[in-house]
Amino acid sequence: MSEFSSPTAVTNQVTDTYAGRRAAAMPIARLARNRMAMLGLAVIVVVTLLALLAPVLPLADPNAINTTARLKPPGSPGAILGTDQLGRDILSRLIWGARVSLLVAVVAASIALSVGTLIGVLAGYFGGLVDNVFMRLIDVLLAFPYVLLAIALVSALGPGLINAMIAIAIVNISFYARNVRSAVLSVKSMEYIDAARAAGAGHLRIIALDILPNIIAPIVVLVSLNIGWMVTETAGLSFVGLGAQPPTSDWGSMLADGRRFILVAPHAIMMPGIAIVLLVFAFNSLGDGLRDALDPRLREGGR
Amino acid sequence: MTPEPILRIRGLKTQFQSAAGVVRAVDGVDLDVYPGEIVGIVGESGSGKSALAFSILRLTTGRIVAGEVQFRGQNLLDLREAEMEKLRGDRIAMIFQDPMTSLNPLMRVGKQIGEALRYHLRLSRRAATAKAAELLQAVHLPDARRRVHDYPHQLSGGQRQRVAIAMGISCTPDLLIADEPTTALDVTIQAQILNLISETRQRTNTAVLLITHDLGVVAQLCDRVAVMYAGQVVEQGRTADVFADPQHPYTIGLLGSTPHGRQRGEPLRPIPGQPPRPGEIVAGCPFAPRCTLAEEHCRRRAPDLIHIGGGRHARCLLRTEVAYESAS
Repeated sequence: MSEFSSPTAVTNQVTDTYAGRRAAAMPIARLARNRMAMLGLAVIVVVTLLALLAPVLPLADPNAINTTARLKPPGSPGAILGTDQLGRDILSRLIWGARVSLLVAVVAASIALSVGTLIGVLAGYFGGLVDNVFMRLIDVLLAFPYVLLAIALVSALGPGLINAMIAIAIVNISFYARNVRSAVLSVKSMEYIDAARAAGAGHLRIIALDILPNIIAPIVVLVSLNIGWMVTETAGLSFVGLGAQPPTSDWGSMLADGRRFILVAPHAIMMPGIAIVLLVFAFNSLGDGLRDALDPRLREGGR
Repeated sequence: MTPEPILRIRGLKTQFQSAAGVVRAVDGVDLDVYPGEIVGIVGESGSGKSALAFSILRLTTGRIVAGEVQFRGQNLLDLREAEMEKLRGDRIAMIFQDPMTSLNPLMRVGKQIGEALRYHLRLSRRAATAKAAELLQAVHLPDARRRVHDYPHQLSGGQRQRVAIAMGISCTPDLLIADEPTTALDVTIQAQILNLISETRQRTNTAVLLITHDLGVVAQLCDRVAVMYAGQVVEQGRTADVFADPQHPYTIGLLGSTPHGRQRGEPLRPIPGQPPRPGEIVAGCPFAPRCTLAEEHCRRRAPDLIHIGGGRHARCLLRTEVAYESAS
């Protein structure tokens, strides 16, 4: 969550002026040497594959209730990770739940990224009044504690996964808008922007050909750091009952369900808990790795 | 006999708002550029040379508050922004000081050159790339056909400046503004780039406005020269005349502080003092505080740019009186 409170960590990473293909090849090599980042990437790939393949995997029905096999411990025959309070297979629910978590996180991140980048680019490129209006609006958004804002939005829209996704997207717009704006500001001061203007290019052309390509690197870092946070946020909303609605399995609602049986069947809360921690950790270490690989100057400062 | 000037600037004033107050970066500049000639603009850092260049293209971040910029008989300050965009890169092009930063690092050089061709001349992608290769050949980039696919970082500084010049001349403009095109380059490369600019002028009859602080460059290349001080043109005329017989005390000081054309062992004489700070308002002649010839009235009355004969102008009260006396 600290990636939200420390936007400066990913600020001002603009592709080096002397960058290009050589610099584009080097970060990949640097990233490949970073063990934590590679571990994170591996976890993300495995979880994504499992989630995508859920319908064809030999899994029990995630919603099939079996009252004779309630709260079975991990290792029970037919239920490797045990069952929950309604006798549903936890492994199956985890994997089907991963679909929900990843989908919500990716879609919410895409929405927040698109809107935030649009605002950031407009504010940063045009400056002046445009900048002031957008940034003051973003300040208003930032004035609310983000979890509270998300809860308020979902309460207003009504509980449900789609609304939770919209709320999470809105809450995260400010994160993208501010960071993209600062990246645009430093690209804008480059002489090649003046050169493009002097060659007769209009604002749209300059934004598309000169500004956006040169802020891709910081944006990639922003997204990878942000998605992990969004997984937590989705689970959080589901935990308080504002996200996924029963019987849809979601890691947050699994935590909430298992909470009452924490003493008799700790696995019911530990399994989804471990899954969340693992996935968030994976996204964060990949994000950190990307940041280090794409902008070596930030390696020392760090968080 | 004299043709119409391609560029005719009158009373141009560009101001910047800063914490220290209003900075008069360009403060009433008059300047003519005729077709096919190279005009040098010299002056120290902060004398308003670059602000003038950016004002001509209407790309200055400051505000143009007065004056006119007649280009081919049309006042650029009256044009709509869309019309201005059509002109930039097509009829008036500009090349920049630092070729390390004036090319987009993530775009192949052929594409960067081709972009302007595509939107000004409506060439297809393929035709633009072919033309880009031709242009790179014209600026003597070795192996031009392959180089169009290179990224800027794969080229040296001099090669990049050649690319920038190729971009500048891609639509054969009537006017090329070169803002210190050789300052960031090695001395050996500087001469090559200057030759290239001169060659381009001869081939396409493009007028060049060459901004520099290097008097040697002016002497080598420019037909005429305008000397700027504190946002104003203080002297202008044919390069040979100005160098042989400078009229404004600032020009005299400028020439006296360079080693060109002097005896070995003869000391250089720097101009004492500093130019006025940005935003500082000086009563009378802005150069008076540093001028060895300044008289009492120089500190009270600001001189105008006066024609002193032979196509030469100077902004100095001492010369003004001479001109008046000889006229009467």
